[in-house]
This record gives sequence, C-alpha cells and structure tokens, in this order.
Amino acid sequence: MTRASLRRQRGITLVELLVAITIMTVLTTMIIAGWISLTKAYSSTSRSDKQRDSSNQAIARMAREIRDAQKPLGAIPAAFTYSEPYRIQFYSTFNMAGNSDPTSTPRLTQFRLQGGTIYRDLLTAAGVVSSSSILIKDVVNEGYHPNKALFTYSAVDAYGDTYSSSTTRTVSPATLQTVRILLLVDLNPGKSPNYMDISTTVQPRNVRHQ
Amino acid sequence: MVRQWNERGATLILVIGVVATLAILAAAITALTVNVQHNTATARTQSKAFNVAEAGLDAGQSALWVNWPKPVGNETPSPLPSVNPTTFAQEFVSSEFPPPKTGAFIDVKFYDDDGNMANPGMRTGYNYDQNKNDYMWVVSRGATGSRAAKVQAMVKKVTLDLRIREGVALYTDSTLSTKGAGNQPVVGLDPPAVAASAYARGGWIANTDQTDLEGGIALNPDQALPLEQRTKLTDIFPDAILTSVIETANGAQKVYHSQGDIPVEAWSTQPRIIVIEQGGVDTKDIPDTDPFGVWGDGQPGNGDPGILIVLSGDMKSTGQQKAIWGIVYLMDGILLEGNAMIHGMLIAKGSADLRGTRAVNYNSNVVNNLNRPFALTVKVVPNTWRELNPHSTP
Repeated sequence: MTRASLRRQRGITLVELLVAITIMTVLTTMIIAGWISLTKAYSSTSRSDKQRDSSNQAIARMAREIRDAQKPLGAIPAAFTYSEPYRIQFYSTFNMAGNSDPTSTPRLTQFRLQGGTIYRDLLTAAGVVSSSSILIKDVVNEGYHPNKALFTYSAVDAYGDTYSSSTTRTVSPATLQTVRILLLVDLNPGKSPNYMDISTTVQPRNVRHQ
Repeated sequence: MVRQWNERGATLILVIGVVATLAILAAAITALTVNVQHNTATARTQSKAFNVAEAGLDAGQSALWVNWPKPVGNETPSPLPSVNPTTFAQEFVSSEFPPPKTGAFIDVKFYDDDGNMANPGMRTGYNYDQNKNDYMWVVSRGATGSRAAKVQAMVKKVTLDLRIREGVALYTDSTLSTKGAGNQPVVGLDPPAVAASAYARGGWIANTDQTDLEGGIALNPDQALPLEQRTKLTDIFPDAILTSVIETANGAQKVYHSQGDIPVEAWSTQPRIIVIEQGGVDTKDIPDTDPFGVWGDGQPGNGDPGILIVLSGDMKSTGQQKAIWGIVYLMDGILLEGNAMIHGMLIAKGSADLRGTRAVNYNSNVVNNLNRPFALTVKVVPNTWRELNPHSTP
C-alpha cells in the first residue's frame, strides 16, 4: 500500500457522525410521526365512513320493513305487536320468498336495540326468536343523556287528534299510525366520541287512516 | 468529491416508499368515499323508484275511479282502465327522475280479485272486475335510473247511495214567489215525469194567475197533516248525504271559494259535484252542465247529472240561457229569471223567486240517475299493500 493511497482513505470524524445521526433521527421521527398520523386519519375516516354508510343502510332497511307491516289472518289484532322506545315488533312480508303472492303469510319480525347494537330478529308464531342478525353496532341512543328513543310512535286519539309517544305517554301498537326512527351512532367507536344522528318517519301502508 | 464505489441511493428509495404509501392511503380513502357516495346515491335512486311506483298505484286508483271495468253480462268491458306512461312521466322532472336503463318508467296493471275476502288473492287472467264485486288489484312497477320498485294493493270501489226522495221538484224553507211570463209556468215537468211535489214552507206568493205551477205540480201536498208529520228538508235530502257529498267534492278538489274559481271542466269530470263556498252565484258564470245537448229540449243532459251546492249566500240568474241538469242545493235563497233553468230538483233554505220562462222542471231521469250508487272514490283495502321483491335478501 502506497503512502498516497493511505492518504486518500480518510475516515469520518466523530462530529460528522453525530451530525449524521441527528439528522437521521429527526428525519426518521418525522416520517414515523407522519405515518402514524396518516394511518390514524385513514382508519378514522374509514371507520366513520363505514359507520355512516351502515347507518344509512340500517335506517333504510328498518323503514322499508316497517312500511311493509301487514296484519296476518286470524285473531291477531294488528300488524304491530310491540311499540317500545327500543323495540318494535310487527308482521311483515318484506323479503319473503313469494311475497308477490298476496296470500303469503306475514312473519313476525322485530328490531331491538340492546347494548348499543340493533338486532333484526325473526320470531316464531309464539314470539320466540328463531334467528337473529346484527343490523348495526355502536348505536348510542340508550347511553345518550337524556336518552333518545330509537322509535317514537304517533297515533290518533278518540277525539281525532294526533299524538306521539313519550316518556309519559305510550302508543298502543294496535293504534299506531307512524313510526319515527332516530338513530344516534358513534362514528368513532372506542375513541373520542363523534356522534351522528339520522332520522326518518315511516308511514306503514297497511295501517293508513282510511 | 470522488464517488465511492459502495455509496447507495437510500434516501431516494425512502422517499419513493413514503410517496407510494401515501398514494395507496389516498387511493384507499378515495375508493371508500366513492363507495359510500355510490351507496348513498343508490339508496336515493331506490327511494325515488319507490316513489314512482307509489305514484303509479295512485294513478291506477284514479284510473279505476274514472272507469271501473265492470262487465255487462259476460262481455269484457271496453275501454279498460289504463295509466298513460307518457302523461304520467310528464309529472316527474327528468333531471331528478331520469329514464330507467331498462324497462318502462311506469307500468301499472289491473287484476281481478279472487273473491276471498279473508285472504284475498289475485286472478291475473282477468284485468277487469270479472266477478263484479267492486274489488280489484293494482300492481305498479316504477323505475328510474338503475333502480326499480314494485308495489301492489287491493282496491275497493266506494260508492254512495244518495237516496234522494223522488218526485220533488222544489223545496224551500222560506217563501216561494212565482211570476211566469204570460201563462207560462215557472215550475214544471220534464218528460216522462207527469207529477211532482213542490214544498214552500213559508207560503206561496203567486202571480195573479195560477198557471205558474204546471199541472201535475202539487204545492205543499202534506199541508193537511200535523206540523211534525210534514215533509222536512232532511226527508228529501238527508244531512248525512249532504255531508258525504261535500266531503266527496272536497276530496276531488271541487270545493271552490267563489264561482270565478270554477274551471270549465268541473262538470265534465267525475264526480259531478260542485260546491261553492261564497254566494252571489250567477248561473251565467258557472259551467254549463249540458254543453253538448240542445238547451231546453228535455232530452240530453239527464244521463250525467250533477249536484251544485252553494254553502253561503244566494244564487241568481241574469237572463242568459243556461241549463243545469241535476240538483241545486242552496243554504240561502235563489232568484231565477229569464231563460236559466234547472232540470232536476231545487232545494233552497232561503226564499225561491222564480220568474220569466220555466225555471225549475222536475226531471225524474236526473233524480233516478243521481240515486244510483256512484263511485265516491277508490280506496286501498287495508292490509293488502305490499312492496314486492326488495332487492336484498334476509
């Protein structure tokens, strides 16, 4: 090895190394912070969009099924059997195979909000849940203060006046005329709360005041 | 600086990696947003298609109201009711309700019911009321954009049996004044009627001659009876019928504030009922009930009579030729002079002052035709409405 080649092989100084490490640390920190922030934003946006979409689908589904409520033959007095703030139970032909046949029998269906989840239940004639599916999670009507009823009902009283169900007055399922659905959902479940409400009013076609 | 053989472009790779990751995230968020927007748009379109189908159901009911297809004998009635898709579509703004990608914008079908009232079914082989029981099914399919909806309901023809007393030319709770031109009677008879009654509870103020009432018109024939047994207005035209008739007119938007609000087609469309809230009605300013007939010939016009009700204030004529075929019911009085004429029956709570040529001719055909049950409306039978085949499965 010649003297000249040894002169060209100069190492880096300690200062240069420290500066390089500092710059790399800063850059790496910025990149990681940006990454974390981006993934958080993505998951938050994704979660809220999905929840928003689910809310729209859920309320549309409930509205369509309730609109289709139909009293079956026999001694059952009305198309609706329960009209409670967090539960509605009714007979419906919605989505039944052969529902274009006017003589097909409506089946007992219910929507219930329990523990922040809305379930859609199909029930036997005796009122026992035979199958259940989740319509939407992270519904906060129950936990919200003051409580927001998922279902509010209106009916016509003996004097021909319309009134709505409330904490002090209930509407008998046999007399209800319209159902208001108010869905209060958390768009950012498990994180800082971000609530959204969506509502619609349904006129069940088969209980129209004639 | 001399480039070392082992120097690598780590920074560039790092930057490319970060940019690629950012691009993937941005694309994912965009895709998600687009998907949500698409779902929302689809739900809105589905809702619009449902509204179109429901409007089709209403249009079907309306078509049945105008023309309930009940066969005479065993023959298929003609024409059958229909909903014109072109006219129907004109009611919808095309920017909000674009034409469907496939199929018709609206398709309304009519079927007979199977006669089973407990669990009504449909007979798709008959598109008219073959069993003549006044029940039919309407099936409406509406479509807009990429979505369609279908609804069906059984409907019932609701009729009103008027039960108006026949053989009454005129009734007034007040006085009847008559003054015919020359020997002409002002209260008479249209053939084939040969006799009718006229009631003037406040008395008759007659002209010097007694020819104001045509032979065959008996004035106050129950005068000899005790007061409580005499014919009352409600015996001739019951209040319940009056209420039903006014409600029917209200439902058909045929209650008008004043005569100036009455469209010319008011008589020619069903139901032939006109209710005017404000008096001061002049016969020359209301539609002719017999636009195609020959005035005063006593023949045309009695096939499609109507009912004219004035709720407040009086009615008069100012001489113009005008024929009203039907029943005129006034809460107040009437002055008819000149050539105006009622073929049917006149009921006035106030006084009736009849002058000039014939003013009221009792027409038995008119009253008989009005006494037939006629379609008040076509209603959805509760518990038969269904939305068919929603697209999702349980």
